[in-house]
Amino acid sequence: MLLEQKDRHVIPRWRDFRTTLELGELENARAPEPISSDDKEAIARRVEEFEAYGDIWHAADLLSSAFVIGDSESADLARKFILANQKGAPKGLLHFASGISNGEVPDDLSTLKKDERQRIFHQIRTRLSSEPRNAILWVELSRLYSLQGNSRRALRAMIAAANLAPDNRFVVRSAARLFLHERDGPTALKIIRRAAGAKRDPWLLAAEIAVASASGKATLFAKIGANRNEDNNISPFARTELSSALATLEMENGKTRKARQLFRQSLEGPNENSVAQVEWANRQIGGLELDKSALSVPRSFEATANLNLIAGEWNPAVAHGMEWLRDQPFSKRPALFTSYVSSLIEDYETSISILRQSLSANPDDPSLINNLAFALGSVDQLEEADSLLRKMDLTETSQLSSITLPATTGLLFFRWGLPEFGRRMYELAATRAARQGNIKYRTLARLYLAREELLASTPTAEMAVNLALVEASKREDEDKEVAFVAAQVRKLEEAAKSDRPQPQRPPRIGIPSVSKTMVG
Amino acid sequence: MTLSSGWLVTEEIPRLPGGTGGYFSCAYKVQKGGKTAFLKALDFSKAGEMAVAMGVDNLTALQSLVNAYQFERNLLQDCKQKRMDRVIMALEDGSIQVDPGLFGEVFYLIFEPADGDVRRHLALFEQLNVVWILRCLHHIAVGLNQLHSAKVAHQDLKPSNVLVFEANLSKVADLGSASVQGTVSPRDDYKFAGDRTYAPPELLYGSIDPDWGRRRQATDVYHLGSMVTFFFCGVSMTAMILAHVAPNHLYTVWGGTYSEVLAEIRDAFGVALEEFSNNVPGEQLRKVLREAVSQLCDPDPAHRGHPSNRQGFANPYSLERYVSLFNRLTQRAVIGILEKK
Repeated sequence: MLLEQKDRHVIPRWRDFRTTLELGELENARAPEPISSDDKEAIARRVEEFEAYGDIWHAADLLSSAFVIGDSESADLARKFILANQKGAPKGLLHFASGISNGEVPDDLSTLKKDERQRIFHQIRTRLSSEPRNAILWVELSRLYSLQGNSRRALRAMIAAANLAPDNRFVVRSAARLFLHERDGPTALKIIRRAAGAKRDPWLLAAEIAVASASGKATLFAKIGANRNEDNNISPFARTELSSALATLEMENGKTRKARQLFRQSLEGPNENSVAQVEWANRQIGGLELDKSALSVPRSFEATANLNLIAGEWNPAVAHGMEWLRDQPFSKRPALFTSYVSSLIEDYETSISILRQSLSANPDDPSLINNLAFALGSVDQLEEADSLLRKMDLTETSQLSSITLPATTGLLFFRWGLPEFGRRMYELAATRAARQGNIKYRTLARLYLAREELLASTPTAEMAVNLALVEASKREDEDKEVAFVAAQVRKLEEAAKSDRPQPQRPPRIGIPSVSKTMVG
Repeated sequence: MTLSSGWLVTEEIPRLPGGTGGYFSCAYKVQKGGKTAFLKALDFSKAGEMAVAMGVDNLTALQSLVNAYQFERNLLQDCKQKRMDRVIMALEDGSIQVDPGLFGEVFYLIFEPADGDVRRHLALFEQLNVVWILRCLHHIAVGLNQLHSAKVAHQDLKPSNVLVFEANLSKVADLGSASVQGTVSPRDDYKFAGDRTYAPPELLYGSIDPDWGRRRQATDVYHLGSMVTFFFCGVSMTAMILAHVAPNHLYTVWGGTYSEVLAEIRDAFGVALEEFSNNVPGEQLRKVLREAVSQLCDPDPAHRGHPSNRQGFANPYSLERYVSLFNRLTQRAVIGILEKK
């Protein structure tokens, strides 16, 4: 089982347009101007005409004019008249006067069920057939395709959006997110850099720095970004991601003091992304504890879920993980997190369901496949788990998955009734973890080996349990996950000692193909 | 008071909607030989008042008034010479000495008499009169097309500037905000020459295109589309669009450029277009008018107008296709080919 936490960048979030709008991430506000004398004159003329003629069409003219200028008093005058004299008034005018819109407000796609999503799919495509230049609809369509795992169509729709509205912040940030998701950092950067506001818009500067960093490219706008970050005319909220992106850059360069200073600045007007970044940074460099107010930022699910996990609050961690997943349904991180915690507390059904869904948006992702194979193996769905692992490159030795894949294979061997091979796989995982300096994963590999030995009632079970628990005891105080798995092993050990009947698995015939590869 | 040409000034009309000099022009009803007409007078004695309002010195204000008067008078003469029969005609121009001294002279223009603007006529119908509306739209399109043919952009088309003559004839009025290509027009320096409450979105958001066509003629094209929405929904297209723009993205508080907000305006435009088409009676008419309005009111002036006009060397803002369209629709409505429900 795997939970990647190595790197994190303030990559733009990709939500639907209405939600992004509501979160205030598309604002570019300036002080409102008072109504000009020319506009006042125009409205005064309309009011005079309306009072002179007192009919619905003069009221309609006044309402339109006053509404456009923002003269609510005159608009109300016309509105009241129209609603009190509806005879002969066009239906559209009555709707407008009563504030009822015929236009449908789009639903939050992430919260919709599959058939409802299909309905929205149809609506968007119908609208696009008559509004082919609507870049926002192309982005929404791309997001739907992305959720389906149809990356070719998602990219095509996003390219259309980016070409139609190359300067729009929502479009540019969404496009950058998608191209990074598709591991095409250069295109993501190209789209950001060609936007008209790329060198002045703090949201685009933040995206450029974060995307460059995440894709291993040099940022071109770090200096401009640093200057903009000091501009007091920009609101703390508007520059929160910029401060955070600059802080991450400083952290990567080893300047932790400056990084902490910038991270604290990012919390002056945070959004959930900058809060999550600080929570992550705190785990790396410390000195950045989040207070409750930071966690009350709307949609701050990621940071809260991670804090729940650290505190060993498993059920809240799953609940917040679910919220995070609903907020970012195509992203693998929340799926990985929530499935990891669900598997940890042995809620494998939830874990399987999350991972299956996420794999449709992230096909062939090794971390997701590994976690799904682990969950499936844990509930004895061995055929499917085996076929999943067959897709993996088990010879890869540098990544975190090089630890977890042999461990998961070990689990399958145990469940197939081949403890010898299983043991060798778990030992391989522990050795690789030690080689990578990952003590936590070495301990977890030993703990899960002990669990499987106990479940298989092998003669070496006691030895494996002792070894695992001794190692776990060194980490239990600081790591709740290790402590939790150790507690599970202890419980199993006690059950074994009390001679209660253990689940018996008959040995299966034949070695699964993946396992053959590993053994071979 | 009787003018030298024999017109008798009978009564003052309170404030002329729009018009040269705004509040500094007055309108009167005049009569001669049983004919009634409208007189628009420019009162130079109010130059001082205007200077205060404009924040300029008296001489500049006076010069502005003179320029505006001369511009409109010359333009109207030009329209008359070119026989623009869907643009309001000036019957006469001249001046009269009402007080002694230079500032006592009042310059005037006498216009052919109208029955009122479209709002008054629409109020006479108990329900939407599709034939009348389509005919009126045809006349407006012809009027604007006649102006465009003379390289004139009206820039201030709105319900109060479409006058109705007899029952079935409509004309475009008030050339005070017009711009003539290749010459300096009095309002060329204005961010928006006409009534801002009817301005297309790009001008509200401060996007000033140096190209005369994209800035001036494209505005007329938008205004024609907005007249369509006003006739069928009672709401201008600008109001319909802004009703679907997030409050913090409205032009009054938007701190970015138009190109940065255009995608959102276009999305709001799509919803507005749907609302508009829901108000058009009859499937056939709905489909045709929706398409026309989507072209006429496109939020991007570079894509406004008929798509076929953007091929080759055609004027992208030519209204000829819409003249034909509204004429065709009127004919079909008259003979009852367009279904009503």
